[in-house]
Amino acid sequence: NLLVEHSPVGSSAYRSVGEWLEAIKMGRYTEIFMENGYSSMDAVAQVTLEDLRRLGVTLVGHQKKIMNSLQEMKVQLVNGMVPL
Amino acid sequence: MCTNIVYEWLKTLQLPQYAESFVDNGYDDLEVCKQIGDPDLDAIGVVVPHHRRRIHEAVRRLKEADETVAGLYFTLEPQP
Repeated sequence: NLLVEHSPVGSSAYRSVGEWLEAIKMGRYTEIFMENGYSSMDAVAQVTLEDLRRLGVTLVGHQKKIMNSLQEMKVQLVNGMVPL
Repeated sequence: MCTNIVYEWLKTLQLPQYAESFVDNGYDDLEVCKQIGDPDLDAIGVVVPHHRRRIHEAVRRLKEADETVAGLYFTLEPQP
């Protein structure tokens, strides 16, 4: 099934912002992110919807995709740090 | 994962070939599809004019369906 999303992976799985953006097929924004100071995964984790709009990510689908991916990474980060 | 709602929607429009591109671009539910305009279709890669027209019309119908429901809730509100 082509519509099945790729299995979620934590932020540590991505070595760079470019690699992360390519993985969620948003590679076209790599340069914009780098040029505006979001050049590490730690910096990217702080991005808000407002930031995305300011960076010129105006398409709602792309905003949704990026914010969902960030949310996913944060959830996994929290789960990873809390022992079950 | 069950079949995506956007795939179902596009199938009813006889445009299922765009489903993967819709989802890849983050248009993976009908709420976000309601906001589709020309720039979104450009990014998704819908270039055939009558396909674009068909999607624009369907987006308009999604919004109208919303308003109908909103109207229904309004009339069901208890009277003071």
